[in-house]
Parts: sequence; structure tokens; C-alpha cells
Amino acid sequence: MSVKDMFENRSPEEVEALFDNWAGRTFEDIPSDTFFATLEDIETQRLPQCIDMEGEIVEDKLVFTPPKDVPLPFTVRDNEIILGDYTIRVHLQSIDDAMPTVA
Amino acid sequence: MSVKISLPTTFTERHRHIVEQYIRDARLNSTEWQDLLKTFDLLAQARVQVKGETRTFAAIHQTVVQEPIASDFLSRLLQLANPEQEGIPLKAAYARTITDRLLKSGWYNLDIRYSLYLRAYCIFWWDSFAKGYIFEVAVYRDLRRAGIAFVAHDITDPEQRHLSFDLLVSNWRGDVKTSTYFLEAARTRVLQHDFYITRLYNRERRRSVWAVIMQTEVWAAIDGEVETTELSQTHQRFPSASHFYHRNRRLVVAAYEVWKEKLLSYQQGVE
Repeated sequence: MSVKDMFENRSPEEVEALFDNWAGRTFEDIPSDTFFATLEDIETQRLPQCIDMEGEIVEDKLVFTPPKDVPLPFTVRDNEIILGDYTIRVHLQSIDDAMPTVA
Repeated sequence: MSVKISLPTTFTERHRHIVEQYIRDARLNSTEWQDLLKTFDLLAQARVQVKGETRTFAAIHQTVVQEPIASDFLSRLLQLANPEQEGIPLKAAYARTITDRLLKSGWYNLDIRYSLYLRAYCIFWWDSFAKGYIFEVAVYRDLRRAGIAFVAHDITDPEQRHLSFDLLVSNWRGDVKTSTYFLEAARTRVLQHDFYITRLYNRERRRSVWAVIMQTEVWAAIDGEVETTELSQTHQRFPSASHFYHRNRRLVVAAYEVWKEKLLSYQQGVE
């Protein structure tokens, strides 16, 4: 397809006809083979993702502050990150406990 | 009125091609489906500037299209005797008001190149939203007819629409999603609900088949039999049930009718 065929280059009548047909379209169920192939593609093309999050110590607890305006694939509640069936709960060791004992 | 449209710098000719293909109703392969979803994600960040004020396509869609018509459409959808069939002309009637709504809002100008992408963006998400709820209402009616006990969110309440799950069945959390929305969820989120009801096209039967994709625990509880399959082979077994792995999770896909039958027996046995 050339750039000339792109819909912004079509005549107004053609564009209206395209949009009108689109508006009336019924369910476009994805064929099961394409659906599972797409799931497989999603699986193989998945890139490691990183989300930066801030935290602060509130009453001896690390409280996470999720970033605003970023759709999160998990839930954040105080010191917990809930990801699917897993709840990651961060407990802070007190500094005294964490320090190695010096003889 | 002066309208300036800025498409994201990462929006390439390939993305434009995909939009064109989709609007022409061309058959998409698996790569193109992924590209289509990525394309409309990307268009969310496109910007329109009018009189020094700038808004994203996503914000315009939300305020000019989605918020003004969603609740009205859903109330009318619930009144239909056959939502799956009568819902399509209803969503089309609302879709055909979108251009006028955009024009009246001042964010759309037919003479501006790329304005059509704003229109395409709004229709794509309106169409996905409307078809998603048409399917959801059809599923609820079918579950009720079958005598399945469940609690569903009130789709006419905007707050309840934003709940993370759509329905509770025997304490399992479920979502109803068209195949497009399901893939969008699989692409962008962890599939954490207990089950998802979706619809797939079965080429051999030449018709759409409702399907349930669920956590293995749900299928085990309702006594489902299953074979483990590579994801790439799953479609060959469908609509027979099979396990497959997605994002390190073992999921089961089964035909909705089989799931429903087993679920009903399970609920009758438990109560």
C-alpha cells in the first residue's frame, strides 16, 4: 500500500463511507488461531519493564508512593505491592538489627 | 478555528498503515493485531492545540465522547430484548454522532490533515467500549437464564464500571472481555482475575464461540478435565479445554457452554 492510499489522502466521500461502515460493524471476534498466536507473540516479545516508585518511612514502616499518571499492573497499599496472587510486604529491619556485631 | 494536531514522533507510516487496514476492515494477522493495539495506545498521546490550549486524544475522547454518551447508551442497552443483536445498531447510532460532537467541541477540523486520526481514535475506543458492554450484558442474561448464581457490577454506575472486576461467581472474580480487549489486557497487565469470559471466532464452525480463560484452580474446583498444550497449539484443541502457560501462569481455556454446565453442577452441589 502506498502513502496515497492512506485514509487521510482519500476523498471526503470515501472517508465518510469508510467511517460509516466501521460504525456499523458487528463483533469482530478474533479467530482462535490468531488469538492464541497473538498471546504467544505477546509472551515472546515481552520486555522487562521498570516502574520507579518512591517510598518514605512512616512510623517504622516503608510506605510506597505509586507514581501518578502511570497505569500500574499491580496494586500498592502502604508497604505492600499486590501482584496477582502474590502480596509483597516489605518489613524494615531496624538499623541496630542490621548492623554487624563487632567484637 | 485554528487546530493543530501533533502525532507522537514514534508514530510511523507503519502505524498509519495499520489504522487504514483496520478501518477498511481488512483481516489482521497476529502481528498486526498487536500493532493495532500499540497504534491506538500511541495515538492516546497525540495532541490537539486550539487557541493555545492543548489536549491529548485520550482526554478529548474522554470528555467529548465517552462521558457524555456512555451512561445513556448503557441504560438503553439494558432495555433491549436481545442486546447482542439490537446492541450493534444502537452502538452504531452513537458512533455516528461522534464526528458532530468533535466538530462542536472545537477540537476537530475536517480541513486539518491528521484530524481523521482523532476521529479514528474516538471511534475505535467507543466501538471497543460499546461492544464490550453489549457482550457483557448478553453474558449476564445467559447466566441468569441458565440459573447460575452471580453478582455483577451495575454498568450504569460510572464508579462501578471502574471496579477491577465485573462479576463474582461462587466467590471467583471474573471479567467479561471481547477478544480485542482481552488481548489488550494480556499485553498491558497481569491477568489476575479468576476467570475471563471472551469470544473467539472458530474458523471450522464458521461462527463465534464464547470461551472462558481461567486460573487452573477454578477449573479444578468445578471438576474440569484438561490436557496441557503449548500456547501455539491451543487453538487446535479449542473449544476442547486445554492448559497453556502465559506469563508464567498456567491458565485453562474452555468453551463457555462447558464451563457454564460444570459451574451450575458445582453450585448445585455446594448449596
